[in-house]
Amino acid sequence: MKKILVLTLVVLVLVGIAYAMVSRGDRREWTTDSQEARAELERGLEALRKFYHKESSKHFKAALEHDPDFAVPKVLLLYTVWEREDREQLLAELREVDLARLTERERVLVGFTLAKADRDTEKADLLIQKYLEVEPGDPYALMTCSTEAWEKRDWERAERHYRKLLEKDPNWVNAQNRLGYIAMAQGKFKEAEEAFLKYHYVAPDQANPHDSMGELLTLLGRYAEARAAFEKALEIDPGFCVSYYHLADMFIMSGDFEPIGTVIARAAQHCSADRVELIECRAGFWRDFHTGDYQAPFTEEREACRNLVRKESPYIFHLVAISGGRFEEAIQVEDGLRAHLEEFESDAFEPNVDGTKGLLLHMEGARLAAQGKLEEAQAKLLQADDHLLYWGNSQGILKLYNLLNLAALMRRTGDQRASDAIYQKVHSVNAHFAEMVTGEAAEVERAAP
Amino acid sequence: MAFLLAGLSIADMFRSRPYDGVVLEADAPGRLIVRSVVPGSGAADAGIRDGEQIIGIDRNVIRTTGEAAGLLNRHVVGRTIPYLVRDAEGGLREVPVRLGPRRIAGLNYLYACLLGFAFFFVGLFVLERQPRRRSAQVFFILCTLFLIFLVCRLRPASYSQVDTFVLMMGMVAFLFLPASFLHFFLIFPRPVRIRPEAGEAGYPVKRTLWLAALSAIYLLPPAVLLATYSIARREGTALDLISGAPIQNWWLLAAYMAIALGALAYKARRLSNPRERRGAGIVLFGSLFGLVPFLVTAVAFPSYLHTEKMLPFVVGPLILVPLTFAYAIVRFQLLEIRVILRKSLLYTLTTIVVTALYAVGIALFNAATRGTSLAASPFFPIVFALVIVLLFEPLRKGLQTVVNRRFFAERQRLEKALEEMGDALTAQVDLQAVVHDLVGKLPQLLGMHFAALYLVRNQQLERVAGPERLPERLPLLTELHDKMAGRRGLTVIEELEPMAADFPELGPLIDRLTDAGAQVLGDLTTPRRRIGLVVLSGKIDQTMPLDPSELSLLRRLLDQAAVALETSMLLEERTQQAELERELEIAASVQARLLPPRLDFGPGWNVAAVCRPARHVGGDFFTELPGPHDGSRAVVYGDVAGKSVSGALVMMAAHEVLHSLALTHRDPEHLLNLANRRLYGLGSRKSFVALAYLTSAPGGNGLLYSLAGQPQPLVRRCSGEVTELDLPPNRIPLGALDNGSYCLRFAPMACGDLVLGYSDGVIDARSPGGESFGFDRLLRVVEDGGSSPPGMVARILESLDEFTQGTEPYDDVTLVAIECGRETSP
Repeated sequence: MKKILVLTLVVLVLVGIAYAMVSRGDRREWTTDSQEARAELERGLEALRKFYHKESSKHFKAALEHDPDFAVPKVLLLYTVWEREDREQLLAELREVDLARLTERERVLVGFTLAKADRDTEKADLLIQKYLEVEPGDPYALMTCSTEAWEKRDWERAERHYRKLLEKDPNWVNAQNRLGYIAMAQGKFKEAEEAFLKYHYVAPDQANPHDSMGELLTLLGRYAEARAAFEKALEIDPGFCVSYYHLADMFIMSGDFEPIGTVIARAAQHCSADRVELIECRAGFWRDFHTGDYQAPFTEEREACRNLVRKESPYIFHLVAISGGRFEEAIQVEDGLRAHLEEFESDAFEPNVDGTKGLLLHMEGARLAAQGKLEEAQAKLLQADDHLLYWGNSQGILKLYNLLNLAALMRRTGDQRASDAIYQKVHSVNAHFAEMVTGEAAEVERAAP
Repeated sequence: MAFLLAGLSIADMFRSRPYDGVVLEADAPGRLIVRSVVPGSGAADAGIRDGEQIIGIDRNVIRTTGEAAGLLNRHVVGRTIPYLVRDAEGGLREVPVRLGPRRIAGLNYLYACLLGFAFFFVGLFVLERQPRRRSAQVFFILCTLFLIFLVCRLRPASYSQVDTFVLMMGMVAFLFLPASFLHFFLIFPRPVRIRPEAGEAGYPVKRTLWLAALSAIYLLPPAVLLATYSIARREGTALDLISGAPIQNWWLLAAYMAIALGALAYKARRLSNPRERRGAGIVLFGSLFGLVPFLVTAVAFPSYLHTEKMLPFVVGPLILVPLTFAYAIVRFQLLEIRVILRKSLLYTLTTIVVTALYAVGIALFNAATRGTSLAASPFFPIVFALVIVLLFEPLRKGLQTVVNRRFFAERQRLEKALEEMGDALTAQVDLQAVVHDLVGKLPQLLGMHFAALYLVRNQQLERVAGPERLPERLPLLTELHDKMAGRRGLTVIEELEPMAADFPELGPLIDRLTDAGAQVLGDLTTPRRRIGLVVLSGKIDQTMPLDPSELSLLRRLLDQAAVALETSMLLEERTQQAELERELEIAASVQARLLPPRLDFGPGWNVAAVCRPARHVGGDFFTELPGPHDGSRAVVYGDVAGKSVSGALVMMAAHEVLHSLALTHRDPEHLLNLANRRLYGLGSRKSFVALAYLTSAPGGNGLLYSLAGQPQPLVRRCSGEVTELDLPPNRIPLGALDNGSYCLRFAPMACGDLVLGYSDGVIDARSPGGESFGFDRLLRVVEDGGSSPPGMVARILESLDEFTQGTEPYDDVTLVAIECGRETSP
């Protein structure tokens, strides 16, 4: 018996060693003969997982210095390099790669990148899906696939792949961040908050998790916390310009326009003039809307601002226009958006079709309501709600505003019960915003002749 | 291995490393739930509370204790690191936690460890005492499972990398614990008997049923666990675990224990031996009061098991189980504590030394391979662990040999003496000398009262040496020997007691041997034959029978003795056979001299005869007697039923009877009737004589003949025609029946006619292929045979030789050829 036991153990050991040799022999992670290049790549990937794009870019470039033929860093650099020339150069080099010497994973990553660059969506999808059928747990294939789904706003697929990624590595903060946004878009605010908290916990030295959290808190009406989050983001990275934009939006949402001037002044020190101007112009439009001075933005001296807002932030432009009875201009904005949407729909790579549709429907509904066409307006606003998500504090606020408009319309058409239900829904998300908008509307109604 | 596992668990609890003060919930796989927080620790200062979940440590989101351990071990004591904690309401918060030194789990775990080792040592004592007894083996397994469960499963979980491993082992132990518990109480102190079905051979059926029942008992708990997990997984529900197992398994444990305690209670009332009844009662008391609080709490109030304060009250009474077992064993004087304790301690020390050596080896190897691809391989730890498992036992044995030499020198001397005796036995060919060594020297070496030797003779065991008080003969019980062969030839007599119910002859045999002071039986068997049995008494200086190592030595010696005995017995048998062969040759010579060298059938007749025995001596014969009328002669030939020595004796008796009667009785019919009666009177109904009587008729024109069981003689006429002589009316062999009435018949003979008488050995002769020579072939030979009687006889013998081709003769062959002379023909 003892002999059989020992023999069994020996056989097990030998089988284990043989299996290890056979299974690992052909499972090279990455194709390079340079140990240093491989180490740099691993460090770059670690940074990429934690969303340190600059750091990851630095490591990928270092990997290429050690081995200029190393294909994967070139693929990954495309995630962090935005200059057109650099991207073209990387793609050109990737086209020269001898695919035969790469591992299957590398071949797929290179093939996918090139197919996407050639706008061959079908080929790119086929490549990655076929590979995932064979290696469903490969983190880099999952990363590629989830990023693709994210960019296409295929939330269900993106969420599934990001969750798989987190099963592989719970510290993959990019996945954590995007899962937070997906949860927020679906109205799962607690999940979103948890995801952003985890993101922040893993990468507290990044501005992004604070900014993401600030967006969520703004949407939820927790303005003081949101302000602190944005301030923290800007403290970590004063050049993180999107946080100035979000901070200004937060003040607009809260109806507190006073500090916006300071925000603009601070942004001016770190951000481009275009961006600062946009923040300033948007804030001006909102201030005018808030004070009921709907004609002020349409004065001659504010023409530049008006043009900028109409292009970059058409929603507030449209809102002010219809509030001031400028339906022609509002319709022009709608037409422009409609044309834009047609372009979107003919472009397979344009992701935000749904959000744009929602925005257009809301504009049409709001205008029709202002024009007294209540039934048509109600239908449009209902459709708009189907397309809008709680996506950040821009589309999210739009969704809330759309719902409040709908509630007001229903009240006017006598459907008080449905109106109250919708109002309660908005109130449960952001009580301050619900009360502020309803109060302003009541004032407008009272002031109306 | 169990001991090693328990040691690993305890060593891990005492190992110094950075610790936050969190005691984790062991029953929450994939999550780090805080079971309690050590007061004054970093976690307590940070406000971490019971029931909260640790989500992240040191800026890493974690899911397993292994990940947590890896992160904590990066730091030193005194460092403060950030934790991400989920509170009872589900909110996340980040708190700074200062790492302090690892603290021992506390009195509860210490108590669980002591309890576990108490179980283990009691189990070890019992096994050492009776290693071959099934109940002792199962009890040892039961105690080992208790050790693993208590030490590994009840340990407070923490961020240790061995946590998962030892907790899983504890879980596995728990799965088999109830089955082992039930198994033990079904066979302790005597096995539960399952009656064979009516009309069937009881043993195989019973054994099959028993094995099937045991398999079911052992397989049910894992099956329940798997089924529970599968159902929960399919339905997507979370399992509520209690010490690693779902409630269903705890219910099963309770059911098993209830049945086991029921069986024990039944035995405590019904066992015939009062001592065993008392022992069972004590064990029942301990098991009942030791286990019930634990079981009731686990099944009815599972959350109590999670509270540290209740643990002593729930786990505490378990100590009653090993204590009552130990008490029962000591009270019944079943083991010699001092010797076993000494050995157990030394064995434990040896194991610890080897474990420490391995730990040092692992540390050195890790240091040497750090940073290499070898150390990074996920297969490396597995292969390394397997290598350690393979090397552990040989190294431990090596060290054990050194320890034995130092502490058990007496045993070494005994080993040497027995080895020398074994060598002497192997070289011995004299049976008496081997017997003397076994019965004379062996008890002296082992310090026993006596040894006795029984050898297999005439399908029973005969005592050839040993005390007179032992039975002179013992029955040869094949099943008993098979059972002993299954135990490698040596068994303590009391271990055979459970078999008594299956073999009725065994009970009295055990009683007789035990009454005579015998304690151990040794089977003497070689691969070729069963030699006999050695019966050994107890030791002179104590009441203990032989210990396992002595049994092992003795087993080897008995193997050598069996071979020596077989050799000497074969030599003796060969000598006896040679003597017998010589005597047979003498008998054959005597028998040959009884046959007349030549036959005289009277003037005008030519006669030839031959008798060829199948073996040294045979049962066929021919002879010449005075004929019925003056000057005539008669030829008789006979065939005695039976061959070899017995046949030869009857042949000689028949020969003597015929000759003595022929002196006074010339009438053939009267002669044959008298001979029949005389031979019948000899009393051996199986040894009758087939006889033919042939004589010339007055005037010489024919033959008078009578047949008593012999085949009809053939007659070949001058014309070449061959026919059989007519059958006489009565032809019963002589000696077969009390009254035979034999008549003569007349057969006319012409000049040149030849009569051939033959025994059935002629036609029954066999070829190598098994074919009989047969009547037809004989007929053809007679037709073509020589013209003279000697020529005919020679021709038939030649044909027989050609046909049989040297095959061993099947029967004696007798031929008598009588030719009517040409000058006497009418």
